[in-house]
Amino acid sequence: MGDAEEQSLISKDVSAAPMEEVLLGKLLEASSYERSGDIRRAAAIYHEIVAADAGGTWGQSAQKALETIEAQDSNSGPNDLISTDTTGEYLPHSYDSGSPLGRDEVGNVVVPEIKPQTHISNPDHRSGRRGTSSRRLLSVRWTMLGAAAFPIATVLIAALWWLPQRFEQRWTESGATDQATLISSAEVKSLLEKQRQVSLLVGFLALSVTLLVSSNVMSSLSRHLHFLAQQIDRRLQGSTIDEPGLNILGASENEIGTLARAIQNLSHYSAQCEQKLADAEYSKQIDLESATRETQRLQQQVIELLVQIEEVRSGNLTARAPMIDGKVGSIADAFNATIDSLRYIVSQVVEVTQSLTEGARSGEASVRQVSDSALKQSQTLKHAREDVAAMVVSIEQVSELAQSSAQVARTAIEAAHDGDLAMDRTVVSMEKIRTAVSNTSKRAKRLAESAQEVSQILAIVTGISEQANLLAFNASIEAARAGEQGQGFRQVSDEVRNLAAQVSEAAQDIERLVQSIQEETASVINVLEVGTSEVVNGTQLVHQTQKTLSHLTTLSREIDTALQRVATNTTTQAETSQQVNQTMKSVAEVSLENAEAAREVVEVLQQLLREVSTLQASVNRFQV
Amino acid sequence: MKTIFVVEDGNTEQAMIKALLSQAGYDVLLSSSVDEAWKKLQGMATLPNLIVLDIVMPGKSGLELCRMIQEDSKFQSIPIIFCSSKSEEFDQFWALRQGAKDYVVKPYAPQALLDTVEKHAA
Repeated sequence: MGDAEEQSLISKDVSAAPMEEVLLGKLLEASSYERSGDIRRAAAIYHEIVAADAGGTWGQSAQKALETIEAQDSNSGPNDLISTDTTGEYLPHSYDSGSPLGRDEVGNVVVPEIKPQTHISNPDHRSGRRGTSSRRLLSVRWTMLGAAAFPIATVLIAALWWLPQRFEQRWTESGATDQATLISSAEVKSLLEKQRQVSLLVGFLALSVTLLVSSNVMSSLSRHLHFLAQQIDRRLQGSTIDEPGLNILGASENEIGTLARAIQNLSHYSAQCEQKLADAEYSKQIDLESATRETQRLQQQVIELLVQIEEVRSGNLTARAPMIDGKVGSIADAFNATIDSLRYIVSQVVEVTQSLTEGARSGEASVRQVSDSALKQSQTLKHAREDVAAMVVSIEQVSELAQSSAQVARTAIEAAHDGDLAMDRTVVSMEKIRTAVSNTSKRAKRLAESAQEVSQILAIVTGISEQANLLAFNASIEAARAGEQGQGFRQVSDEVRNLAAQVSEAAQDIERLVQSIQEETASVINVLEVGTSEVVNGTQLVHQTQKTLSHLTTLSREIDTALQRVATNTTTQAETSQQVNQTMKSVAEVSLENAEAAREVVEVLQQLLREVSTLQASVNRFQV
Repeated sequence: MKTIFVVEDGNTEQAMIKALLSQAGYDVLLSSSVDEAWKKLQGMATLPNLIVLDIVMPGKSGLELCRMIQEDSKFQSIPIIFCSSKSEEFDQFWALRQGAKDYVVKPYAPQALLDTVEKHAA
């Protein structure tokens, strides 16, 4: 693969474009690979980022991502991801800057300290060289083995040789009880005794041989061991060890060789350990220094916090602990939050006491005013009650006057009524007069008409008498011609002529009488007509008078009604006034009570003001 | 599209978180201080689905903003996660006590941040 090419490409990119953008791009790319499940490529890019920006934001994030990936990887099973995709150069970056927490989780890959052990314990590079003097030592092992094995083997053989016989006897003994007497207990004892003696003899011989052989081996062994012990001493004292000597000893395959190699390895290992110890000491020193610095910083932060707390204790609630990125940050924040709440509470208390003070002061003034007003009101009400009492008296007088006036009005109504009745009677009489006059007038007229008719009849009578006279004259003439025979006739005609003359005269008299009757009748009719018109006028006057009287009655009635109403009203007024008077009396009492209560309220408010001022004094200790 | 409101004072941190969230398909709003963020939040027509808060910032801290949000009935419902380099257990304890849903320690693995955001973005 072109890993190397890619690497060089990256470094070129980094140098060419702004570092941050490139890293951002890489991180995004890796993140998207990671999300799409291509962990291998994601890890590769994360490694690139770590390499480019080990201590920076990008590098740290990528590092974190790698740790997560690796943790998942170790959980999911073996994968050659790291070994193939990353070269060793990433590892120091990866795990020098990583947090200790992360390192624990990926121990098998991370901790390289374990490796030197296996490295040290592998002495392959020395195995080719073998010294001749150590060849002798090969026999030592065999000699020692022989020395140890010989007495044991001898004793075993002796025991095995004896054992079958013993078991055979015992078998015969248990198999046939009737032969129990064949081997007595004395025989068994002597057999055991013999066996013990043989064993002791054989053991003594074997021991002697062993001692002989081993004394030779031991001398050579002690020399080598002495040499090795010397080397260990020298190593312990810090001086250099005899490397060539150890190499020669270590070349042999026997125990001394092994021991020599082990000592050599131990020496190397202890050298490494010393180096590590020194390194550890150094880093411990560094850690200690940084821990000291951290402690000092912490001390500083705690002191700052304490100073702020002290400020608050002395009442300054504006104090705030700085929200630093340190260990006490959260405590500082909790402190700030608490102070904020406290400040809010205290500022509310201040506000409330202020408004309470103002309220109590203005309340006190108001209540005083109320008290004064109540007193004034009570005074005013007293005057008002007197006025109302006077008014009641006046109203009663008015009522009485109204009632007597009503009486007068009622009398007037009765008088008017009587007048009206009299008028009615007058009107009736006058109507009768008028009717009588009218009848008389009619009769007079008829009389005049009768006289007229009489006059006309008289004219007829006069005409008849004139004709009778004429006829009598003619008869006398005729009688005269008839001479004496007509004498008698002449006399009758003369008589008729006389009668006619008399009738004419009588008619003339009647005529005169009729004329005088007509004249008289005419004057009577005139008089009657005048009388009638007088009666009509009189009737009209009476009617007018009646109307006037009726009007008067109506007026009087209205006056009566009005006066009665006045009387009723004034009575009600009098009663109401009495009630008003009573009410005002109780109002005046209440006013007095109010004045008293207001005075008490003023006292309470003054007490409240004293308490509020105490509270204010306490709260004013705080600066908000 | 879900909106994430990020309050973070560091330029690099801002760039990184914005890029990561944008790439994951979120709409990202940014503020550099608590006061600015609070003002911005008041003026928002639609509330964000999640607020990501840094803790240590100049002026007021993210913890204070968290409390301000929690005390306001308008914003109470918005889930909050902290993203801070304060890594102590008690820091996380305290931050979560202020009403936050989760805590991401800086430096964070990109996927860890995205997982946490996805878990809580309402």
